[in-house]
Amino acid sequence: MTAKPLLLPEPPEIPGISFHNYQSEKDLENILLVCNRLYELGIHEGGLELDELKNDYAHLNNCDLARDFLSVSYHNQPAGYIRRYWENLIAEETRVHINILWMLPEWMDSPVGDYLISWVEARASQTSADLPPLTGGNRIEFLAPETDKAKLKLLERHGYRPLRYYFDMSRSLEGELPDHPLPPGLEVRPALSSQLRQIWDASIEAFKDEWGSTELTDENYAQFLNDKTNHPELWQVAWEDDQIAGMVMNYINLAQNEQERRFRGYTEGISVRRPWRGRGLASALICRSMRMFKALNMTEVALSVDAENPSGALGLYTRLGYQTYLTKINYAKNLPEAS
Amino acid sequence: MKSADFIKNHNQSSPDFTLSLYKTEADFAKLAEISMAQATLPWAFPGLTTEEFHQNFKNLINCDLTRDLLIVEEGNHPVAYFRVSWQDTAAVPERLFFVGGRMNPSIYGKGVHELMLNWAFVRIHELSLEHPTDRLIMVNHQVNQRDLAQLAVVKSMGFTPRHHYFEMRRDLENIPSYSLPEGVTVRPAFQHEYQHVFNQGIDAFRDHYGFAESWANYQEWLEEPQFQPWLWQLAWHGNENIGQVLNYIEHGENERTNHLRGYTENISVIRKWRSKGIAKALVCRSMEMFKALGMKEVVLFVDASSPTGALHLYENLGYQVFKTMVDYVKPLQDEPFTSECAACQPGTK
Repeated sequence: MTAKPLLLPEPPEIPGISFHNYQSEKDLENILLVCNRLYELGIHEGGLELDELKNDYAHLNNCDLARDFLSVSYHNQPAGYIRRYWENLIAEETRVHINILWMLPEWMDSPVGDYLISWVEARASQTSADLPPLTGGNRIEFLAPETDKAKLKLLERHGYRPLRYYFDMSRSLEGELPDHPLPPGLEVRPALSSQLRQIWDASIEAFKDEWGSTELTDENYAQFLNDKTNHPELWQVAWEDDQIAGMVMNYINLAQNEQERRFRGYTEGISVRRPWRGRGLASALICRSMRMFKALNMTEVALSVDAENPSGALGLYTRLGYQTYLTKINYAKNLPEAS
Repeated sequence: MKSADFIKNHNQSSPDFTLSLYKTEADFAKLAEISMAQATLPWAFPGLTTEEFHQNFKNLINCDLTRDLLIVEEGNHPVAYFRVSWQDTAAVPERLFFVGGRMNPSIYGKGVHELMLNWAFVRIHELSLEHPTDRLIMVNHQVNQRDLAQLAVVKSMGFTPRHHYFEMRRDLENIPSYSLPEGVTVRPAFQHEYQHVFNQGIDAFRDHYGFAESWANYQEWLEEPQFQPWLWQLAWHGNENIGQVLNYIEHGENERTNHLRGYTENISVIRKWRSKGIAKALVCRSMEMFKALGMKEVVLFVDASSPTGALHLYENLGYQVFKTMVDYVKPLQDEPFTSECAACQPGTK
């Protein structure tokens, strides 16, 4: 007995609008065009580069580009795209279907957007039908900055609701900087090339306790190694003898600084492994990172935080002087169980 | 005589060491092996990996590796290499032919160095016929002053010292601090300013010995592993970059040598802003920056006779010489086999 095949919806007939699957790197150039247009409209954060997209698309998890990517053109001009993939959550028996959707606002909250939503939902049903069932079922997620009003309206209309909030925060490096000493017995040492895997593994282990975390693979590691904003000499890694206690994986996005005409360093990838938590290590490493970025003549630092992070990260960053400048919302909906 | 005949004649004499020219990129592994062997000498330059040779030899000027790179093997074991290239520069009247390479210390005293120099003379002669010039042809061979065996060879072959370079080092304790002149600010460069920063640096170095316009390849500069703009310390007057230290870290070298070293390199100030303490202030800021990155020492190279008095400045900032390289030179016309050759005599065309 074979199950009835789950069909994909038919694309709507809209004059000038066409859809196509992933074909070549030309699609990545089109993504860049769309994102740059959205940057000009204040919707996308900017600093995206073709090399970065190529690196991302060379190392995808659970994403079949031939079937999980759809681009939208209007009179052969790029207007938007959607890409989907799935992951199993570590903390819950749940599979998440994650969608990356960027589209010009005039097409987002329209039958074009409706079609993309119904298409990814159908693809999520197809995929989950082929995978072992999980007790927590399947969840479909989109991340949207609060500035992308059209996307928020579209998602609301399709029954998606905010599940989690993320704050993008920044802090000026002018004037007095806070200072917190390293906990006794810990030492910060520059990251050597031969230690990158060990540092990565320690970071992954610590991040498993974060909400929504998923198993990372060698593809993720390869993507990370080839990421040109990845500058291990800027990392602050704390060691207790040969054990990694915690880290801040600082980086600079030169293209974004160019676009925004600012000198920002990212104090990102902040993690402390369980045995070393509660001793002020994250504060100490962030303060060192601020001083380091100041020595590099940067004028501000920034990071993103899960507003409900149970370790109290939001409070910590606020006490260190970071202020929210943008809220991003994780919109989610449960995938109806197949009968 | 031709380079190919030199190699053939030598190899036909059943020697202990055989000669061959570079053939393919697979030969970079041999160069790496040789450099790593030489790097076991405490004062030698750090060894380079196959990948680093690949990178360093990617954009060579006036050098065709398949004709200008000689590899010496003992049995099937690579023990030395020599490379020839040339430059016409504004700073000196001669055409400079640079010869040099690396040698496994195990072959010191066995005539290999002399053999490679003799090949280099033949090859340079061949090149000077292919690329005629009115300039005097000068062979320039750089030797580490502590490499007594190599020094003895170059002296015995009639080379004379002309130029000294120092590699200087400083730890990161007690870093002084200097303020910049009124109206001068420090900030990073935006991407659209990289070309400007590059041009300012090239312009400032134009009066240095060995400077060649062919250095000025912006695209190649962007691809060098030492291009690490997030580490630069730059002084600006308005939107003009007037001084620079183009700092970088050699990650592979730090890993292999167990150093935590930052290079405070490519230090320059444009002419009209010189003698105002800008270089001093930028070098000290670079030291503070490397300290904040957890480095333990900074290193730079300096031409001992730099027209800007750079050596004195670095000494005052606490840098100390730990390696001295000497450019030894010899006019090609002093080689007996060129005496009949018009191309080797200056000013005859």
